[in-house]
Amino acid sequence: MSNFLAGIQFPDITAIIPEVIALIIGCLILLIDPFIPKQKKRLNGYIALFGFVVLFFVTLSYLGKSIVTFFDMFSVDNFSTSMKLFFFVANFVVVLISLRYLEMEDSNLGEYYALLMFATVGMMVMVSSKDLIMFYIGLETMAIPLYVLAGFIRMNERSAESALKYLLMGVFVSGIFLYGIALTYGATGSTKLVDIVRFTYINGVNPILFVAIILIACGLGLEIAMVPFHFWAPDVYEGAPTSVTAFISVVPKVAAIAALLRVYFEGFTFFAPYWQTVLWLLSALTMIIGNVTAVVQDNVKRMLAYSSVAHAGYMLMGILSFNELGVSSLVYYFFAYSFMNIGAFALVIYLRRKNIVGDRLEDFRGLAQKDPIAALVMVVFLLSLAGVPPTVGFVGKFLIFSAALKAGFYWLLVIAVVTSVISLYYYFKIARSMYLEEPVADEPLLQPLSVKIAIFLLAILTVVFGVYPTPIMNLADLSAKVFFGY
Amino acid sequence: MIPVNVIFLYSLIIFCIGLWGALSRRNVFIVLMGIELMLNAVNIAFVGFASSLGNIAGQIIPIFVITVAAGEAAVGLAIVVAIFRNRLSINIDSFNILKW
Amino acid sequence: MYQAISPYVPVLILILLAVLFGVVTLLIAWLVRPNAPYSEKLSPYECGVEPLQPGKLRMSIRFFVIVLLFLLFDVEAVFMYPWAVMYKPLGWWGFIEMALFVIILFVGYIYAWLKGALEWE
Repeated sequence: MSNFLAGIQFPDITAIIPEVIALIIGCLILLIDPFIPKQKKRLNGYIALFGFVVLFFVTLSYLGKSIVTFFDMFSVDNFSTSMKLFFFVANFVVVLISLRYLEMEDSNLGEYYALLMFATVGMMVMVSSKDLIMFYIGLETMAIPLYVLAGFIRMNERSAESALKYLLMGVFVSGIFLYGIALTYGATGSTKLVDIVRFTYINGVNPILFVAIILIACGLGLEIAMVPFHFWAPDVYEGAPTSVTAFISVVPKVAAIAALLRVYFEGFTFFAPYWQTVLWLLSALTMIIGNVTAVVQDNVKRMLAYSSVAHAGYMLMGILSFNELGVSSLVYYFFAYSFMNIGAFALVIYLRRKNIVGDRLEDFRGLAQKDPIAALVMVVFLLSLAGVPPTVGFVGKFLIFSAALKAGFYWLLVIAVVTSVISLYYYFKIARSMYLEEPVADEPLLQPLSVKIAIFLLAILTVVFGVYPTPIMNLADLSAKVFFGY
Repeated sequence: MIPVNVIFLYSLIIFCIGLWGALSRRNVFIVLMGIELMLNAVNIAFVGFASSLGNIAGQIIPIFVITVAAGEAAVGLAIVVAIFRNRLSINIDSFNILKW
Repeated sequence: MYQAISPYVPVLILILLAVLFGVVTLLIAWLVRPNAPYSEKLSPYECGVEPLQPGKLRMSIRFFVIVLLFLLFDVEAVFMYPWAVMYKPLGWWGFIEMALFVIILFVGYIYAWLKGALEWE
């Protein structure tokens, strides 16, 4: 009894320093917020901005390190480190576009940034964990703040309703996810990925695990907005505050895909042909339904929601290729997708003015005459989303498609290319509205500075990394080495 | 000892009842109850597997599930109150500003 | 199969007896009693006093906030049981981890306090 801990090594605390810092910043914002007078609430946002910069550089020092600790449940490797770097970059921009937007919506509360921090902690745990229960805890730590964020504008009926829809779907799907974990535990006797892969190596393929694989894909599929679970996406994206939409459409989706990748690659390695077939079907459906439904939308937020569903389909191609190029192209695609998608939503925020949400197609009408630079930048984001060179979107799609080609998924590739062509049409609809239609006389644009900075930053990144993708490619190659070729 | 198959079947039945409740009912509270039932079915499965495998991990996991479920329920009820203040109804069918 | 279930057979018998007792009592009462309702008899029973107000009272929203806080802190305490059982073997390591856990909970408590969730007026 007394020495049952004798064989166990104590965890390596240095592995979780970034998570701890993020948690402390979140708690700090929560505690000092009540003392900040109402006019100076923006201070919370600055703390969050500063926090993400600090976290970025702290995490950067972990690049190249490889630590597996907490009883094989937590791993710091290049993949998780580059994912964390991605979260900080994306969240920095999200905070930047939230600063003025929340004031416009009259809900500039410090909790917003604290919740953003807590969600980030959850996602960091998710991408680092090597245990299914850790995945679950990370997923919920991420998801519960997101439910609150979606309903952050309390007095707005749409916001509260979208939060409830998100919550009901999320909790429901997390139950399914847990049942998948329970089945895995029952079949293999452990929730650790290392033990699962060892068990399947020794004992062969167990039919219960086939069910478990599908249930786990379902559970993570909600945040990915993969097809059977994509219904919530347009509603929540439309109802939630636009800055939160920009966040939900990018960062949790990437975290969930990264987690799915790790579970399948490290835990269910010997089931590869099986889950490749499952994901093939889901990816094809996601691309087709996402792109075709986006064509008929006339609300820009809803259209971008379906477009983000379609992009989830492209990202799934990176997982199901199951080769080194697939992982590295996926990591590149994450960065590319965050630049262009947050950029497009930032433009919607840019159009937010008195009594106008800025998400209808009419709000974009004649933007080229009112604000030529904003219109040009929006065109850059749209071209990138459609995958036209010389943008990050083109490079990302090119890499993912070549990974699928290398793995021999020719039919999926055909579907992907055809749906990409369809996507050109609805992105073009926004561009046509901006350039070929006359502006309507209404409230003047507010042109908030922080949103301007964020938009220009994203536009520059979109073009520069499209022409010169090497820095992100190097990071992506490093993270792909975690799974293939030591 | 109850055989593990019986426990598994029991948890599966409860899970399906919860699933049915969550999908078919229109009252938010009953939907939440159905979801809680699903989570509890998972807990039963975990404990059952733990006792049959002789592995302690499966007895600890339900504690995590219970706490997470409490957090979700608390946030869910708070959101329902926020909606109720705007709408004075808790029927899912009346939440129709956004298309379901 | 029978061997495996046998320790629970008495429980099953007890459940059956309990259900049977309730059903039989209600059945006999239903067969024997006279049926003559009038308005006083149908009104809610409040310890013999006249009913003061309708039964569907609307609660103050303040109860709700307190209940939510109670629910959360109450459930988080469940983590302390496994730790308490293993207190000795885990030693200082376990103590520090639990202290950190309580500190994080305490941050939430202070936040609720500062926000006035515990104020009644």
